[in-house]
Amino acid sequence: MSFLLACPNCGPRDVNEFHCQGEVTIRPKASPSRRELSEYLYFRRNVAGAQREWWYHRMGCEAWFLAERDTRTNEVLTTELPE
Amino acid sequence: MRLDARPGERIDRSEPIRFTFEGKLVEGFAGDTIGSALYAGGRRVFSRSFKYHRPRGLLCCSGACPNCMMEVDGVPNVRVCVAPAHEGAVVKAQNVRGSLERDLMAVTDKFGGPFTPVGFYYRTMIRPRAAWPLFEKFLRSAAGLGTIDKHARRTGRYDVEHRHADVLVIGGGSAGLEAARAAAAGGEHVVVVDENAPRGDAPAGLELLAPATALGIYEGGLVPVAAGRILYKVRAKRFVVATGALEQPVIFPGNDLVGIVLPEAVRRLVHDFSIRPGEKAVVLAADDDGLAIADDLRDAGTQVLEVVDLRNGPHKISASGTKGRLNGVGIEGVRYNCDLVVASGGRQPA
Repeated sequence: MSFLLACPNCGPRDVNEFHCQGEVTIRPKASPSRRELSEYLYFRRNVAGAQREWWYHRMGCEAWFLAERDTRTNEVLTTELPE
Repeated sequence: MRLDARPGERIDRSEPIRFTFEGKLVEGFAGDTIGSALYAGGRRVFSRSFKYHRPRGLLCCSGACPNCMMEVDGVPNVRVCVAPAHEGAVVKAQNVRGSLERDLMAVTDKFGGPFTPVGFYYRTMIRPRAAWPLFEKFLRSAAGLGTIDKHARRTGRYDVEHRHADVLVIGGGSAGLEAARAAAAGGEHVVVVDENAPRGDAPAGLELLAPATALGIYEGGLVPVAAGRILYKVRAKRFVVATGALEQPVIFPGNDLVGIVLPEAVRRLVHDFSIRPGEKAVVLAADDDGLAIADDLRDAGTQVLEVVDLRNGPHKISASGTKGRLNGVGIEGVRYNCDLVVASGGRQPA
């Protein structure tokens, strides 16, 4: 991986400065069933295309942010700080 | 043999440089490469071939072939034809037992027969099994090219730098520089990479990385450029690959003798370093550029015996020599006694 990722704080930086925490998942509600919990923990959609994911600027401002990346081309469509 | 001062030469005759080769003093000038200083001093054999230890002389003189690899200041496999000569350098031949002229390991070439057929592997000697430990001792030292100083320590630091540019031009020849100038004239930030040390000042408005090597084009338009101790990670919006073309050797019996060179070698020896490449020469070429080298040779005082255009059908060519050094070439049954054959099969894109 050698593409650039635009950190919302620092601007475009080498991707090796970041840590990818995987796709954005939705936390199950108050008392989830075991199936819901295991799906939340272990299953990912793993899409071939645009995917929203968490990134962490490990060697920079140490901010967590969201990025939308095309998993086929590594083209980063948008980056934003979480609400 | 060094010629009188010529316009456009790269050497500075007012600044002599002295270094040692195999313990003997070699004299050159600032601007010389180690290879050109040795050539000017009369050296013709620069290395021995990897396995059969056949003599090798300058072939391309432009850093594109392995024929001139030597050990310089403890660093093995330096192509001395492009390595700048510097005061006090310690240059040694590598891959030889004895000297370049009399290499004991050349027996591998003479032996022939069942022991060292063409393309033989040292692995052949793994049988009989009982004899292997004996062979291994000898073969371990015969294998590989150059020796690394086990006690060498890292001096200085190595670093990575990031560069962003609008246009990255790979190759600083006339085409590359022209492209770079055109882009720079439009107000763009241009980075030029070239393998050779820059001649004079870099053209205004350009960032020149030289001597440096562009290693490849990676994802996201990343081009790592190795420039000595610094690895530049260059990202550019657009690329220009202007890497030029390399002359191809001609295939004929005896074409690996010392004294058979590509036109580029003559061009550099004559125009950059003001050296007469040989006394009597034959030119064989398959393109106009190669044939034109005859004029450069005459210019340098070399007697050109024959110019053969290889495009005019096949020619029966064979070169002969003694002790690996060229002494003549036969073309269609006519023999020419010469110490230089400039042969080119035309250029191929690099």
